Amino acid sequence: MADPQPLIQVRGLVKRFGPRTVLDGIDADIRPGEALFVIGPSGGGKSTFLRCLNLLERPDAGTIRFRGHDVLARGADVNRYRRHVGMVFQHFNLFPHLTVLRNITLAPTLTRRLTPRRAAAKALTLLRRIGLADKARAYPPQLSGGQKQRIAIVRALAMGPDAILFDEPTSALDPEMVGEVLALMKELAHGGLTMVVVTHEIAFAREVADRILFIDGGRVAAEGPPSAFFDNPANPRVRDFLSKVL
Amino acid sequence: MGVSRGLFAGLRGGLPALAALLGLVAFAGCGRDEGPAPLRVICEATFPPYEYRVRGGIDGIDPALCAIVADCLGRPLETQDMAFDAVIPAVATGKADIAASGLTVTPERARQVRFSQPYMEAAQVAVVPLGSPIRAPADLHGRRVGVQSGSTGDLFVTKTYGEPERFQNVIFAATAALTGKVEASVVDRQPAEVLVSRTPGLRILPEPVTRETYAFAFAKGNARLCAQVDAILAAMRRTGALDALIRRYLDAMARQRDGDEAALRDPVDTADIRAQVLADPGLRAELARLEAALPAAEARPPWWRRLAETARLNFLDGQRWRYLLDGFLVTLGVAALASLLGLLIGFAVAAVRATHALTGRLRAADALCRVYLTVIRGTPVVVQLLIIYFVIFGSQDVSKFLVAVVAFGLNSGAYVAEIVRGGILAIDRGQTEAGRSLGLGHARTLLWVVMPQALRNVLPALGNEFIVLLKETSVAGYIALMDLTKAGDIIRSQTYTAFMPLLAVAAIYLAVVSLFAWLLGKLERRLKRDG
Ligand SMILES: Nc1ncnc2c1ncn2[C@@H]1O[C@H](COP(=O)(O)OP(=O)(O)OP(=O)(O)O)[C@@H](O)[C@H]1O
Ligand SMILES: [Mg+2]
Repeated sequence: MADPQPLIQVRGLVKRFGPRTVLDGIDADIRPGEALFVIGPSGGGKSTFLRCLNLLERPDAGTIRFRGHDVLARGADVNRYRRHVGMVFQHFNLFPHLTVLRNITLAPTLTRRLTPRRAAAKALTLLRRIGLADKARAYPPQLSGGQKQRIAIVRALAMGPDAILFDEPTSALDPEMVGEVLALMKELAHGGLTMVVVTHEIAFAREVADRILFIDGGRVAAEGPPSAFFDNPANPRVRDFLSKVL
Repeated sequence: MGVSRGLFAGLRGGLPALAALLGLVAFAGCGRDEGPAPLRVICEATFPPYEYRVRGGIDGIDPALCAIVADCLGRPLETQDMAFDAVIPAVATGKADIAASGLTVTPERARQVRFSQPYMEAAQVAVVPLGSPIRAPADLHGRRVGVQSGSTGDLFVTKTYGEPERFQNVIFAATAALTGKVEASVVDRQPAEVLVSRTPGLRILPEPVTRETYAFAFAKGNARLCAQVDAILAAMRRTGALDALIRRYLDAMARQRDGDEAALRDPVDTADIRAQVLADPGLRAELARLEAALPAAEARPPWWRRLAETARLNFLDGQRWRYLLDGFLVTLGVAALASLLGLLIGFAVAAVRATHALTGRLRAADALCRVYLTVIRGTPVVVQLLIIYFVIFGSQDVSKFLVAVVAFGLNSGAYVAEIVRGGILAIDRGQTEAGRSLGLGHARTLLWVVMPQALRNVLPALGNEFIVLLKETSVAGYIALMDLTKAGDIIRSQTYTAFMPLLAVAAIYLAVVSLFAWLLGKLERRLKRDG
C-alpha cells in the first residue's frame, strides 16, 4: 500500500544530543493529503523528529527527501524547502511586536511569494474563515491562547505550504480553548492538507488520523491505521502506553 | 595615628612623593599639638629642571628650594604632584601652603595669589618643525599655535596671537608641532630644550616669544609665609647659594642632554647648600622676627562678596561665559554624533556575533569583532582618543571634532554591541524558529523578527549608554578640543579660580543628564505600559 511517491520520505534518521542518541534510525513516509499522527511516551523523540523534518535540528545521519529531492544535501535550499513545509509550535511563537495581520503577511511578502496587497487579502480571507477578522489590527499579547494558536496556524497556511507540522498544538492551552483549535485542524485535515501532528490528544488522533506513528526510545515502535492501532495493538509497549493515557 | 606619624618622619628625607601621600593620611588624623604643621607644597612634576620625577619622588629647583624653606622653618615637608591647571587654585584656597611649579609672574595670577620675589628668569620659546616657514615670533600671527593649557605661554599667545590649541602638557604640545597638528608650540625654554634634544625634527626659535620671571605663590592672606620665603631667598642670593643651587640643576640637565641618561633619574644632591643656609644666624633671627611680627593669616572678605566677585571674574569679565556655551555645543555635538556612530557599529557587531552564536557562520568576522570588543573595553577611552588623534590620524590634518566623534563612536560601539547582543540573546528562541520555519533566512529573521523586539528591550540601556558617553566626552580636552570640561579648564586657567568654573561645568552636565534621564524614564514607563 506504499505510495509510489511520498511527499516526504525519511530513512534511517539519527539525531544525537551529545552522547545521547535521541532518534535512532527513524523510517517514515508522509503521503500527500494524509494526516499522520505521531504519539508515544514523553521523551521518546517525537518533537525532535518533527524538528528534524523542518530542519530546525540538523540530523546526524539518514536522509529526508521532499518530492524525491534530498533536502539534507549540500547546497539544498533550506529556506525554500521550509516554505513548503510549515510548522505550528506548542507555544504559538507569534511575533508580539507585529499586528495579527502583519504576523500573517510578513513571510509571504518578504519572500516575494505574494505582493503586499494580495498577502493582506489572503490573510483577511483566512482570518475571516476562523472568525478572527476583527483581530487583524490587534497585537498577539491581547489575544487568548486559542486565538493565538489559530492565528499561528493561519500564519503557516498563508505561505501556501504542502504540509504543516504540528507539535502539541493544544497542550499549552486552557481546556476550554482546546476545542476551537482541534476543530480548525480537523477542518484542515478534511480539506486535504498534509499534516504531521504530534499530540497527546488520543481521542482526537483516533478521530482524525489517517495513520498513526508510535515513537518510543527514538524508534518507530509501531505504525498503522488508527483502528488497528487503538483497538488491536499487537505491540506490548503500545498496549502499555494506551492503558496509561486512555 | 602615632604609627603613621612616625612613618612619615622616617620617610621625610628620601621619598617626598610617598611621604606626601602618607602625610595626607597622617595629617587627616593628627591632632594640633603634635609638632609643627607640615609645609604643604604643590607642583606639576613634568617640568625639568624646575620639578620632575626621579627615582623615589620629585626633585628639581622648586622642591629643593622648598626643602630649604621647610628646614629653615622647622616644619616637615609634604610635596604633592597635581595638574598644572589646579596648582594656583589649590594654593589660593589654602589646600596647599606654597605653589612651587615654575610659575611665571603675571598680572592675572597676581589677582589670585601673592607672589614671592622672583628666584629665576626664564623665557617662553616657540618650537617648530625643521623647515618651518616660521622663523621669528612675529611669524606666529595667524598660525595654529599649540600651548600647555593654563601656562603663561597659553596666556601670552591668547592675548597676542589669538586662541591657541591647548594641550594637557608640554610633551603633547611639542608632539602636536612635530606631527603637524599645529604649526608651532610655545612652551618654557628649559623643558623645550630637553624635548627638542630628544626629538629629531624639531627646533627652537632663537628669539624668545616672551621673557618672564619665576616665583613661588601663596594664598593672598598668607603674608607671613611669603615674607619668610622672601627673606630666605634674599639671604641665599646674598651668599650665592641660590645661584649655586640653580646651577647644579642646570648642569644635571646639560649632562642629560649630552646623553647621560642617569643625570635626571636620581635626586641632585644639595645637602651642602641646605646646611649652609641653615647655618646663617642672621637669617634665623629674621625668620623669628617675621614669625612674631606678622599674623598667621589675614581675614578674608565675607563669603558672598567673594562669591559675587568670583562669579563676575569667571563668567562676565571678557565674556568668559562664551567658552561654556561653545564648549557645551561641542560636547553635545560630539556625544550625539558619536552615539549615532556607536549605534551603527554596535548593531552591526551584535548582528555578526549573534549570527555566529546561533548558526556558527561568520567565524572570521566574529573573531574580528571579539578583538574589537576586547581592545575597546580593555583600554581607557582617553588612551583610545590619544591613539586615534596622534597615531592613526597622526600625519593627516583632520578636524579634532571629527577625531573625537570617531574615537567616542568606536568606544561606544563596543558597549552598544554588548547591550544589543544581550538583547538579541534574551529573545525567546521560539521567535527565531518561527521565523525560520516560515522560510525566512537567518538575516531576515534577525532583522524583522528578533531585532525589533531586542531593540525595544534594550532601549533604556542604550539611553544610559548615551548618558555615559556624554560624560565620557569630558576627556576630549586631551586632544585640545574645547568641549564643556575644557571650557571650564580654560576659564580656570585664566582666572585661577578653583571651584566656580568647575561647579558651573558640573551643573551643566547634571542638568543635561537629568533632563535626558527624565525623558528616558518616561519612555521606559511608556514601553512598560504598552506591554
Ligand atoms: N536541544 C536538546 N539538547 C539536549 N537534549 C535534548 C534537546 N532536545 C531534546 N532533548 C532530549 O531528547 C529527548 C527527546 O526529546 P523530545 O522533545 O523529542 O521528546 P518528546 O517525545 O517530544 O517528549 P514530550 O512528549 O515530553 O514532548 C529528551 O530526553 C530530551 O531531553
Ligand atoms: Mg515534545
